[in-house]
Amino acid sequence: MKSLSIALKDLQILFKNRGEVIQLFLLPLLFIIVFSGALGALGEGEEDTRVPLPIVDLDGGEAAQSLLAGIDAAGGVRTELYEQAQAQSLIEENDISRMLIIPADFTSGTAQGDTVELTLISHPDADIQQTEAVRLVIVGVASDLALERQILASLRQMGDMQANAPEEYQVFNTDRVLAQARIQFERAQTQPLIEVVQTVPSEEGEREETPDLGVVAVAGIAVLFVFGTAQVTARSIYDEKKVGSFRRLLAAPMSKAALLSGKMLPNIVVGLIQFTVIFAFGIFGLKLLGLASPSLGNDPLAVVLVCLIICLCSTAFGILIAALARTENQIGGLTSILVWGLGIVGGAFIPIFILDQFLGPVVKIIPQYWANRALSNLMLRGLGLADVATEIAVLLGFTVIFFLIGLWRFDFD
Amino acid sequence: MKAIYDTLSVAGKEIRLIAADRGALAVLLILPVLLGSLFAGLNLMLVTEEGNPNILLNVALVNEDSDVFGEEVAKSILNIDELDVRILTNVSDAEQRVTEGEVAAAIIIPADFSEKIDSYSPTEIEVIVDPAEPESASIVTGIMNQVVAEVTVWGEIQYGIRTIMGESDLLANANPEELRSIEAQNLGVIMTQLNELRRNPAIAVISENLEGAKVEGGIELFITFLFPAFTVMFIFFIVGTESSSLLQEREAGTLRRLLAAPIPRWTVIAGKMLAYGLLVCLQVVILFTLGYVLFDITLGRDPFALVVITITVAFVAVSLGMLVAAFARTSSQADNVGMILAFVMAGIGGAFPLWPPIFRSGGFIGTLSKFTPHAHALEGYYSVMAENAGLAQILPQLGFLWLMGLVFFLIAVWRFKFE
Repeated sequence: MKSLSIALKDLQILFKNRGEVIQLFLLPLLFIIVFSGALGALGEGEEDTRVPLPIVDLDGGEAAQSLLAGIDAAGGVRTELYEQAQAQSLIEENDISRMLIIPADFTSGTAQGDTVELTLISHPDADIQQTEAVRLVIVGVASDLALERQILASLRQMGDMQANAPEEYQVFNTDRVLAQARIQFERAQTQPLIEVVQTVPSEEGEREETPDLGVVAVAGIAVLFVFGTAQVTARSIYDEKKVGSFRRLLAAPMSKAALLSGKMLPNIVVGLIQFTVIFAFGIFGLKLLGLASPSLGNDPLAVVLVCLIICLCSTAFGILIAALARTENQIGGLTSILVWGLGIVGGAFIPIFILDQFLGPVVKIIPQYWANRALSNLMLRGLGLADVATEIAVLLGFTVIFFLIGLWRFDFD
Repeated sequence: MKAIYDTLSVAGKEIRLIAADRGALAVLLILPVLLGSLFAGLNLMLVTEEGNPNILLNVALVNEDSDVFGEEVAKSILNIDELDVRILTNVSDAEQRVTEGEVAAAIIIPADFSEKIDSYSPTEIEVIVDPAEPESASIVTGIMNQVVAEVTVWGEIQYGIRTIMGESDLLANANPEELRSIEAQNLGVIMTQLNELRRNPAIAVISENLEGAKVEGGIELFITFLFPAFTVMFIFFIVGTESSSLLQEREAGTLRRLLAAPIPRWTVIAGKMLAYGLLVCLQVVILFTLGYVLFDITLGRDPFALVVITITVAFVAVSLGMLVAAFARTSSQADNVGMILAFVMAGIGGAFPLWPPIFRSGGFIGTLSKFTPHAHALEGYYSVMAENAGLAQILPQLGFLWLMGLVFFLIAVWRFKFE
């Protein structure tokens, strides 16, 4: 009961501080918006954001037409036709950043099976990443076009091998070979012989779906900011010590344990509100913005339990920081390294498979890493409570260790 | 002369205070160094010196097709350096491992794969990916698209040859030995073509600049973007530190004492701004030195332009700090507002390590980003460092930044209450 009234008082103080409220609840939403690409989506549809690609078509033949149609269809790049002299002078003035030259022998060359070269010329100041993206689009379209040529070349080669066969078996004549290659090429455009289909595992067999960075970011950012609440706990303890109200509380007829748990409760409540706000935004807000959104997975109760444990761990973290730091500045320093630094290393922004490779076992001593693992197992992979038993045990272990060190080093006066 | 001395002594006092504030120094100096190194190190590790991806992903392979095309795909997958392949026999076992996050993806070659290709009917290879790891999913699918491209060419050629041959009586009349030799020729043609495909593509795409030099993209550029991005982001964290320190002095009453001292009022402000401006320059020097020494970032060909833009950005950041101090009521409010401003503007202005940078992305958000000092600062740094721009080319950015800084500064001076 006494703990409760201390907790209530702390929550009142916290919610009066608008800056802190914004930092705890709105900042994570901003992060999600940035990482889910919602910012980019805002501007879409209003204007043509495709990269313009000036084309100098010296060929004008059928193959050049298919190439241009292919580039336009690939998305991201928009072709614009220019005369060679005009394009040359524009690019020298940096009025256009790059141009693609289709050589005069492009159609005849591809038809005959010669190697032909497309040249992408860019101004030295052109954005190199964009140039590379444009180049990849052209390479993709060109390799589709090349399929026709490859079929053609092989049919010719086979014809050559059959050259010594009797007259009635000479079926590989030029017209027949060309027609066959064309038929197959056209079919391959609409119906590729082999397709790679990407799916994700799910209860009802596989779903065809592309995993989305924004969806993955929601849980990671929630974990980062819930651990960030540790800073609030540490600072609130420090503030009370500074103004002396902590000592007065000690004089009140209640145990130290009740006092300390009263200081811990608000952190847990705040953490749970954070999870609710962030997940609600992730699940409903992203959907409203027309983006892919995460779900709570197949075992929402397990998600709730894990969230509660993460809040406990974050609180114990706060007590630890309050016990270790002696000045307000040290609190700032310790939290910026332990909470934000470790949080980022713990998988909030960097995929875990990369971290495993880069830092090896080191990531395993970061509590946020385990929190991220537990949530992504439940929410993204659709696993159940039993599958995150290890993660839960480790998080509880961290909680106990932090709390014990905190209690041991805690200076009540 | 005396005013300069006064300003310097206020700045000197402030610097001693900053040096004692380990929390602020950790946020302003250590955190960006750690994050910059981490991100740069990660990105370098992921790419070999030749520019190829340097990663190792665990994947499961289930080949239910015992015939030639299935074998060929399986062989190609096993030869790919980026994949650590575990061969499984059971699809649900493989799927289970993906679900548990044990492998990044499971590649399933269906039982009728070769049969379908032989009869020229479309078939597919399924890649079951881990929904928790979008990056590895797209890498595996990308690799599989390449693997499949070769087998597709094979299947297409085989079909073409068979179709045409089928039009004569050649196959019908051939004896088994002739048939075998035709098949061998068929295979020979396919292998020749596949080798040709690997050696030189039918349509080559050459990327060069006006002087005919080859254009290279790549990871170095991203890292050269990364350091200015982190630097600009953390420079603006000074806003919270600076404004809350000024207001703390007002709350503690030391500001009043300074005012009572025989120095002009403005030197108190100028001294504060100078101290924090120097801290910003120190941030830039530390981060760029680190990037240069450890990660080979390029600094461009105009060091003077770098100095000018750094001083300019420092001026904007400390003016913004003064502005926040002028409007905030308490020091903790100033601290919070400063931190939120720093994060929000970094996000909108493109100082997060995302590629391509927002300030160059155009559209609504591109325009929005132009309202932050971050976008102009980054455009300036990036042009000088990665694109060899000189001072003249970044004059528009510099002009814009000075304008912003002056506006912030004038409003701050007008609104700030010393007592």
